Order: sequence, then structure tokens, then C-alpha cells
Amino acid sequence: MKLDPLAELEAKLFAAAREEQPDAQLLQRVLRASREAGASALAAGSSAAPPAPKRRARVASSGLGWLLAAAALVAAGVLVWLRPLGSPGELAISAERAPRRSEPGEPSVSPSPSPPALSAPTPAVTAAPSTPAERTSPVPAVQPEAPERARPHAGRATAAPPREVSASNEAPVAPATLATEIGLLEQAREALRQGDAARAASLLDGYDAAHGTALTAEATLLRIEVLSAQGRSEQARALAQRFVAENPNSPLADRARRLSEAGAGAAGVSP
Amino acid sequence: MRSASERPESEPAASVSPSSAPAPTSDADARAFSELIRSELAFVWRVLRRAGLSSADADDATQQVFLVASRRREALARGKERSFLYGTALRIAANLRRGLSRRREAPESAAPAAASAVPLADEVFERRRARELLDELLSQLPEELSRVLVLSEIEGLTLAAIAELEGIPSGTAASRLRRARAAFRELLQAHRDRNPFAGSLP
Repeated sequence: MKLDPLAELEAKLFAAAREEQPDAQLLQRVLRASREAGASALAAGSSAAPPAPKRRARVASSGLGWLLAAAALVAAGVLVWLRPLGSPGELAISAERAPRRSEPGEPSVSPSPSPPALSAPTPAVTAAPSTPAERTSPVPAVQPEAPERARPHAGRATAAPPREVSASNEAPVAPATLATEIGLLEQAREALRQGDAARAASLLDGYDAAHGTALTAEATLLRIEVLSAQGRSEQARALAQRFVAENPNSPLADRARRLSEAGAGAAGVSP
Repeated sequence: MRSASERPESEPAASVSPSSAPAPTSDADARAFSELIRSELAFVWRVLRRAGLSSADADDATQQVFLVASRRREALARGKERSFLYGTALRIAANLRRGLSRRREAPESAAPAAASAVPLADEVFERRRARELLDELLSQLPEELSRVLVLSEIEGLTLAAIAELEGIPSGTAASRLRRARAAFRELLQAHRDRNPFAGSLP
């Protein structure tokens, strides 16, 4: 019988695509880039064992949580008292391991009572429940690493900042931009992990200002989480819903949905 | 919308990944990641190519995909690596397409006509023309149809695998694939009608 010429042509087209392979050098290039990125992650995240995020929920609901909160109150009080002395550690504390959503009721309490081992010469009282004004705070567009960040573990104080992503190689599609984008998001994520939602928001503003394009979805999801951590559940939910509507098939849509739901749950607690 | 929410894999990743630090890389971790690159590089690259990127852009985007993945290893360690890479590849491709003027190896609009008119020197060239025509036709399909068609016909994936990558139920994947095939056929037929000599060669 006669073979359907259309089917034959169709098969030819698909076969041609199946046979197409990337250049052999691409593998080496990607391996090298990922090694460099891995090395930088190792340098920046050697102390990564991050207890904060998981602890957050539990701490809030347990008796220990109340204890910690009380201790935090005391610590915060001491800090406020000491503030005129310009103690550089104050923000460090606030950024440290702070349960990032404990702020609603108690502005200055969110910081955990851990010792102010780290310093961050950043404006005071950032741990207060963030306001829109705070979020839109001026951001160094592409160089957000300016002030040394408070880090969760003292031993890590000297660790390299995680932003030198060394994604730079021969990639002609603006490798510097990609590295910058990754660096910004990384820092924002880290800031959020440390409970410093305001700083995370600033870094995300920096991402927007830098016109990041490669990781916009990631940035949006992070923004949702930051908003939610700031107690701005309505905005978080709205952004999440928009993201889901615009990217219904994205593997990240699920996360956006869940973040939105989490935000809704938290909304009851928020002021 | 919908079924994506049923996908189990992002359950844990959802709450953990955004707020956790980049996974520190142990040797074993690094080796595993290198293996992942080796095994998935061609897949990611082809997905990017069929998503409309030129070969050079696909190279760069592939690197970006794995860079993102290397920064998100904690989200990868759940047996869903390919889903993650696929989703990341599509997003990066979309962003790149938006940001860059689409640079293909040959102007798309000219490709089909040229295919019928220009004698093909060798097989390599013929395949290249075939891919140009394929991309031309795929670009005329709705994206969700184009994607399932690529996954099925080029990557040879099962419906279940397609459904997982796309985050849709198998039934939806099946119906999309049906529609995609029919629509592709129509486009191909229309192309042939416009280019009567294109029957034997693209």
C-alpha cells in the first residue's frame, strides 16, 4: 500500500529533532559551571544546616515558644535600652534565627534571644512588622551585598558571601546578569531564612531593579513568601493567585498555591 | 490551575526550598549532580531547542537551567529531577524568548518555502531543514500542545511521564496529545498545500 506521504514527512521531521544533540563541549561547560557554583555554595553555605525554617512553626506553638518569646522580649528590651549606645549587634540579633512570622503581635519580639554574636551595620528595628514603606526601601540595585549580612551561625561569620556565583564563563547570554540574578535571589532567600523579611524584600526589589529575567518565577515565589512573612497576607495571596493564573502549568504553581494558602492561614493571626 | 495541585512532588519542596540555604555540596552530592547533568543535558537542551531557542541560545539556557538546579539541590533530591529541570527549562526559555529577539539559525518564515525550493546538499543539511520546518510548525501550535507533542514524539515519553512533567492528569495529557497530533497534521498539510514540492523533503 501507499505510505501516507504526510505521515512520512511528519516522521522525518520528528526524527530530525530526535537526532539533534548538543555540542559535545556543552557538557564540559555545564559541568564546569555547576562545579564552580557548587564550590561557591559550599563556601557560602558550609554552615547551612538551617534550623530556623522548620523550627518556626513549632516554636510558636509550644511552651518552649512562649519561653523563648519571653526571653526575646527581655532581650529586645535590653537592646532597645542599649540602642543609644549604637550596639552593632542589635540587628544581628533580629536577623538571627528569628521566627519570621512572629512579628504580628509583637513588633520587636521576633528576634530570638540568641547572643548577638554577629554584627550587621544595618538600620535598627528592621525586625518590626514590616510596612510597605519598609519594603520599598532603597536598594542597591545590583550590589546588595554592601553591608555584611548577619549570619545565623557565629562560626560562619567569615564565610564568603554566597553571591559570587562564578556562573561566568563563556555564556554569551549576559552571564554577569545571570550570576547577579542568582546572587540576589540567593541572598534574599538567605535573609528570609534568617528571619529578616525586610532585607529579603529589599533584595527582591534589587532583583526587580536589575531587570532580572531568567529567574522571575523564582523571584515571584520568594516575593510571595516574603510578603507572607511580613504579615502582608492579602498581597501575598494576590500575587500567588496571579502567578498561578499566569503560569498554571509551571511546576512552581503548586508552591505558589500552597504559599497562598499558608498566607491565608497566617492572615488570621496577622493584625 | 487544577491538577497541578495534586502533584505530590512539590509538597515538601514548597515549604522548604525557598527558605533553605543552598545545599552544601559534598563529594557524593557533586558526583550525583554531575551524573544528573550527563544524563539530562541532551533532554534539557532539546526541550529548549523545541521551545524556540536557537542552538546557541539553547546552549546558554542549558547552562542556566543546571545552574539554577545546582542552587536548588534540595528541591531536586526527591526523584523529580527531570520535572524540575523541565519546568526550569521552560521558564528560562520563555524568559529568554521574551528578552531576546528570537535568533534562529534561519529565518522561520523563509524556511518552509526555502525547503521546497532549495536542493539539499546532504543529509545533515536536510535534517536541519527538517528541524526548521518542525520548529516553524510547532511555533504555530498552542504552547501546551506543542510541549506534549515534543515530549511524546521527540523524547518518546509515555503519557504518564508527560503528565508528570506537565503537572497535569494523564487524561488531560492524552487529550492534549490527541489534539496536538491533529493540529500538527493540519499544519503540515497546509504547509504541503502551499509547497507542493515539500512532499518528499521538508
